[in-house]
Amino acid sequence: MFKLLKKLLAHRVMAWLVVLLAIAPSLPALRFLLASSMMFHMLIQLPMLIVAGYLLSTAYQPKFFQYSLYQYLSCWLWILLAGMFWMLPISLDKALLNLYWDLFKILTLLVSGVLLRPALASPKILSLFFIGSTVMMLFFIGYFYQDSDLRLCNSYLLESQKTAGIGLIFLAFAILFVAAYKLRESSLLVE
Amino acid sequence: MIKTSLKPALPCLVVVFWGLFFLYITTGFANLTLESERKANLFLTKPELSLHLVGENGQVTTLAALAKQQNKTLVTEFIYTQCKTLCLTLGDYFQQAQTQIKLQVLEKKIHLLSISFDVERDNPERLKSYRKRMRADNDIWSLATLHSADDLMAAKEQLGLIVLATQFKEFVHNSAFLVISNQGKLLGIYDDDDVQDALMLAAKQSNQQSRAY
Repeated sequence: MFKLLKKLLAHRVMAWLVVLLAIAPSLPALRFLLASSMMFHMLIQLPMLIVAGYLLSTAYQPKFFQYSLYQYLSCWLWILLAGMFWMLPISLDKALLNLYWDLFKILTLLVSGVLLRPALASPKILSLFFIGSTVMMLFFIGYFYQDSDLRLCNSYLLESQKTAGIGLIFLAFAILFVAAYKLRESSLLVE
Repeated sequence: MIKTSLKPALPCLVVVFWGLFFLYITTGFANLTLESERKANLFLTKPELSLHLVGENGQVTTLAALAKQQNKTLVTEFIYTQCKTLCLTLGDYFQQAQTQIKLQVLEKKIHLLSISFDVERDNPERLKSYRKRMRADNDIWSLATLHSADDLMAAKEQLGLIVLATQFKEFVHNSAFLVISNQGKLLGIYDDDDVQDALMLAAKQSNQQSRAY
């Protein structure tokens, strides 16, 4: 059953379906979904774009990649910086108000997803460092969002911001647990 | 394929790419929120304001006409009278400002103006009861409502005012203190905890004006 699901997810049609699903909230007809809830924007659309990119890269297995430390590092840096960029309040507001920023968001996050697959194949110590940084970033930004009494995004209500903040903290813990589970039997020192 | 000699350049390229975009969207790390960008832009452009207002006696006037009539520098805030949260704080700040103006004998120089954006419901009666509640002094503090939905649109476009209607007929809105010259020109815009700087700019401005006469 699990294998079947894995096979299905690796299928090209499936990957493109998820891409469509992730882009859909940016279309004019469904934009109200993004505009009404910061939680939907940050915790559903943004991660879904990354997942869609990851599935694309699993389905097509692009061969452009050479296994060198610099390339691993580049992939991780792209993912971390893109993630950080789309956590800024001004970026979220602009993506919502401006079509070009929204396109930029979709493209950069899809690319982050595509790069996530090679990134995860990097030496574990490198992965651990960058996953750790991402978790810390999500945790601090989430804490800041739910703690702030100032509305940081002009397009969202304070309530929405607080729920999104709590959601980000949960996401940080979820990533931490998955990473800990994946690393449970591996030794960092011996490859 | 990337040549071996170029490899170290790739991570640097990624950092430079994102660094530039970070700098661009935050205008050099100055504005992490759209609200702070709005205020920074208004300080640069200083637009003339053309808003129609309805005063406490039902008289229709414009912001520029009101400024000229008072012949004082205006310090302005946007509120709605039924607000139970943010505007109460704004009102408090204006009360403090009123006391301060009296103490420093600035009545002839600075005038306070609260403008309601609740076009549909804030009629002159409501403004009057708000005046009573706030103990606003007629010579120092005026109240008005935006004349029509068009004026609300204009305020949103010219000033970046944001008003979101929620359920239960409440509004969520951003807040700022605007300093407006006696000719109706915007001079500055300050955060809602920064009324002191707004008053200081207003006092400085009216000193310059009186020297010019």
